[in-house]
Amino acid sequence: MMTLIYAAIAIAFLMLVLGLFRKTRSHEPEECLPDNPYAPSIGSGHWLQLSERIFDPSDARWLQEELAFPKLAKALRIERKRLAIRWLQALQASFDDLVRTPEFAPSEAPESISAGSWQMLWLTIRFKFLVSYALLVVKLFGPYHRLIPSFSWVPISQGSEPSFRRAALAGSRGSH
Amino acid sequence: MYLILWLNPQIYPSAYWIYYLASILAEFAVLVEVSDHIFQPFPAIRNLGRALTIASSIALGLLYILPAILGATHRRPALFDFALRASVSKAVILVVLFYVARHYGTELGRNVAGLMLGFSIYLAMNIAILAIGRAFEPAVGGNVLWVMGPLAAALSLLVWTISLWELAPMPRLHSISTATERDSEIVALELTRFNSELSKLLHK
Repeated sequence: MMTLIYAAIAIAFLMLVLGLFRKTRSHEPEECLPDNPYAPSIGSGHWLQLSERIFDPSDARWLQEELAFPKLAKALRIERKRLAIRWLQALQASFDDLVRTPEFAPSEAPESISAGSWQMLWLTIRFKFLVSYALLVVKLFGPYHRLIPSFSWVPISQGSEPSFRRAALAGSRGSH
Repeated sequence: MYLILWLNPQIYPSAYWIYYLASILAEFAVLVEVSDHIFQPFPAIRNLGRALTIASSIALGLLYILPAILGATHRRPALFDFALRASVSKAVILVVLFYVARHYGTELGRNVAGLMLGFSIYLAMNIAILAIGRAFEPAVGGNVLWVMGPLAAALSLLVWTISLWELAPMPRLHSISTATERDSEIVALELTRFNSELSKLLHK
């Protein structure tokens, strides 16, 4: 039985590789770009301001608490959730475009290129992980949920943070 | 190895195990070599192939290969299991590399594509041969290995020879406009900026 399974694995592996090989050879870079055409540059101030509006809960709260329009506030939340997901997807698409940018010509020594490459890889993996996490949180809990969970209920963190601050303050006073 | 067996059969078992360990190392070296070239044109993910290969090797080694060795009661099935699982692990790493290369739209050059294709044929044949060798009696399994093992290696070498006959650089800029090229320092700055913007958002 195990022999048959391994034989099937061998055949499936070879077919998968041949399939991926053919697709990769006939692959045009335009095909791999996301469908979403909205992928502006991270340098665009307007685009970053848009994120502040999307993730800001104040107007939804204002609608619900001060004007007492709970249905309208709920509709706004749903729309903001959709916008937040699109914004994060656009950020991801823009980042993927940057990652796919080919280098003009390496100008530095190989050692520094290698060290820099590992740092860039770390930044790439970190960003991909964080944006996936943010997308998950927004999809599950909406755009107004804290993206980084609060650990205020943990007694260690409550005690340790002020002590760090005290130590930093004492250090800064001592240096003056 | 045939020559050693013919000239001095007494040292053949020792020579075989040295050859076997060297071939396992060489196979992982082929994977590292392939992974180093796949993402070469892209500065942000230049080391992604190597990182994937090392991380997958460690994970599969600890979770898939090591339990087979530790849990074995007899030497022969343990050796077959080790060889079989090592081959399956290499196949998994190769599929992961192919998939990630496709995800990032990397065009594989003739040399790298040939290396990957030849190695895939070798691994697929090895998995099938080792599974047969593990299932049947030592006499039958040994004969299958004796004939088919070198045949898999020869087929792989044939594909490598054809694909590596001429040096063909990675077709990095065939379809991507040269206007999008950037210096790696600018890419690094942009990556940092993306990360800081996202971190700001997460800390709100």
